[in-house]
Amino acid sequence: MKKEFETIYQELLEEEEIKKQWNKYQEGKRKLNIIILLVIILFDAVILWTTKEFTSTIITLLLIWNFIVFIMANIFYSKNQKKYNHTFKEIVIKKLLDNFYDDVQYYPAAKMPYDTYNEGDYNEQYNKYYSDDLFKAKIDDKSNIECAEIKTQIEKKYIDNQGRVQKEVITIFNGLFAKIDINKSINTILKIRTNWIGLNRAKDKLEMDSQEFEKHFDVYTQNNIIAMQLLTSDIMMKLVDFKNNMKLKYDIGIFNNKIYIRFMTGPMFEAKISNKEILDKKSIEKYYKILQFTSELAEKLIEVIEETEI
Amino acid sequence: MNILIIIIIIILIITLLIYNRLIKLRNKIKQSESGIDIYLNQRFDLIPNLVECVKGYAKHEKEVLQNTVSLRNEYNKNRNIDLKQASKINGNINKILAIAEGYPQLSANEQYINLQKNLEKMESQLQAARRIYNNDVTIYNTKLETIPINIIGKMLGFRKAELLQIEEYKRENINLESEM
Repeated sequence: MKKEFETIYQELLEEEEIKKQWNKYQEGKRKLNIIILLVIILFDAVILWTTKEFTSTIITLLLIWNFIVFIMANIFYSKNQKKYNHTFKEIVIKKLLDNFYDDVQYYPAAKMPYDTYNEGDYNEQYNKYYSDDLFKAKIDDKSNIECAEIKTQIEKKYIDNQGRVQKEVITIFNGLFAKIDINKSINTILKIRTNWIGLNRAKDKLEMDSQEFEKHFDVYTQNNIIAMQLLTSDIMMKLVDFKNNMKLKYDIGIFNNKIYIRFMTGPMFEAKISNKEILDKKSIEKYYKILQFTSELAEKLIEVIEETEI
Repeated sequence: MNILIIIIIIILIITLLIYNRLIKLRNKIKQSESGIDIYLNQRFDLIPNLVECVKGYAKHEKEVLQNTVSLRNEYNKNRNIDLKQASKINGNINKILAIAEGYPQLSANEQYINLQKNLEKMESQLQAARRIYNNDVTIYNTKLETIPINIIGKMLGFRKAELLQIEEYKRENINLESEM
């Protein structure tokens, strides 16, 4: 039985380890703020008192020193945050995953191999690939799912006006990617891609009989009949509803007996630390809804594929 | 004078583009119509086997069985695609399947189970082909209603295409359900 978000959130708020880490983080932050302030004031006062003049050299020196202190402080902050983030993943994300999937194995630092991501056939060029938060699980104790956060970038080098070599890094994709194995093959390829308003829409796409769906997605397939059989009106409605509710772009691909889904979410499963709440409700609810949608959509697609005589 | 010639050329080009677009859309409809025909024929080819299988059990339903066979023979003689006639035959097949549900021995017959499976598969493909057809018709009809295509299309003899309606036997089922 899958729990509602509110129930899970309330249960998470009761987790002692989370409370402990959050208090520790806040305490550390307070101490660090005081130390930084003291160091800056003391150093600046000592310098000004000993030199007794406001020359531009002195002011520059003070600014550089203050800047170094800020950088050092940031390093300490991120170290402190990393500890909290680790606890957040181990407890919060694991709990969300356990709510929707069976036999969950979650490895926050592990990568999804780029070969697996490329199987999704996104037709994009990149030369930098990052991945973490890999989890493997089962849907309804039957179908395997592998999922991870992925970031692909392209680094371009160019020569500027003064003849210097410059680097430009463009992010191509950053979000969640999932691969689901199904027991039956559809013997064809079906791609459902978010359409980009303003760009020319491909002529080889399949026109679907839902205007609302057509507004948001383009369908590409080698077999129109199977595409129509699988994209029933309730599946199309589910896809549109999710896109409207979450304001999130996503792509789906069914290649024979594999389903690939990717969401353009930006960084996933990271802790957002707020001063008011122990757990940031908004971000956890977003993770909950994406995981819920992935699991429900996969279940629905598997059901339709199994029911359809292909 | 020169301006007039330019205007005439522009009008001719626009007419030509619209004509080509409408022809393309009309051909798409024809293509999807022939897709339906293929699935219908595949389904109708199973009628003799279905009738043979059912007639031994459902002796009181002779009329429906004979009617289906004669409708199918008539359909095969006609070379043009008659979707209304086909829809009638298809409805009869579904009626036979519904009748067969009342005979447990028949429902357990292996040959019948295989037939039923094939028929259901083809019905699902047929539904998909119908959706494609209706979609193509909607796109074509919508195009034909927009300005200035409606004026030029009319002049060039393009007429609205007809959407495939829900089959009669399904309408009957819906009526029954709503009455209950």
